[in-house]
Amino acid sequence: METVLRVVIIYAVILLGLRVLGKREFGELSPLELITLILIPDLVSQGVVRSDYSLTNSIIAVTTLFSLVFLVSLLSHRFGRVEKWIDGEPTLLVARGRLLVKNLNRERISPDEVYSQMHKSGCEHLSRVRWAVLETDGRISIILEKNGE
Amino acid sequence: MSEADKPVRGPEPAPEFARRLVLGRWQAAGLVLLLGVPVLALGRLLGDRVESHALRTGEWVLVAEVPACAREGNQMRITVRLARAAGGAEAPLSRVELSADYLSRFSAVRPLPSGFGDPVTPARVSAPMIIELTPEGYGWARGRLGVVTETGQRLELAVKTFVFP
Repeated sequence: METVLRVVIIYAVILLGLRVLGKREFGELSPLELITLILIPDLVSQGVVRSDYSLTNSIIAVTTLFSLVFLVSLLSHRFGRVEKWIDGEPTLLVARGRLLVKNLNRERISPDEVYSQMHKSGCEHLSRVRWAVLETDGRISIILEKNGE
Repeated sequence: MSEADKPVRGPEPAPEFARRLVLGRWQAAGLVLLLGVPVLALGRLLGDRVESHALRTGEWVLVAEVPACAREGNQMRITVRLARAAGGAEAPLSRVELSADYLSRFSAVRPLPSGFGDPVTPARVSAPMIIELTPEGYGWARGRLGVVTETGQRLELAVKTFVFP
């Protein structure tokens, strides 16, 4: 009983924490972000299992976590609003060759990162970028202007 | 509003459709099993449930609270109370015994108060008496809990506990 409640609480705290940290944390990880994600299991494991190291307790904890993952994905699929809250929405970083400073600051993305992604897409001038979008998985998508536009 | 602050519409948004939950037959069955475990745990059926066993004779009422299920390695407690049928006043226990077949599933058996023997109780103390046990291995532990009253009458209850791995 208590294990179920503990997993629910830990899941909610981690979900909220990752949601607050933003999309950056889900994409390519910096060393600092990697350390954060590696430390989370160590910090929460004792809180979940306490002194109960029985197989039954582990199974309860894992199935509770899987059930939460499924229920959240179910709600997220069924209700668009929940999906937006859980996954967030893509953020526009560049529009028609212009950096959107407010969005870049909000997502803590430097122009260098946009340019790096732009170069990977085979583009050398910002003016050729129609859209640069920070996707909900933390990756930056570059859509180039069509030739002649 | 400056040029930089103007709201910008991005690329074409994804179209919407009627969202429904679609599950395969095996996926649905697996999901029921998956969800069943925390539901059983919330119902205290996977190691936290305590059952109360009572025996009434002419003069005495014996009540034992025995875990119906326990988990391997996690200490559990059996509480034994003896009361007089008339008036309900608690009576001292002269002796409390757990049968060997029940105890074979446990280690670190410890009676509280500690003046009691292990697992046989030589002293007379006021009820309730608590026996702490740590399950080892898994499966059913079945046996009998015996109590000797101050008048020498012997009372017995059948007890069982399922130990989860």
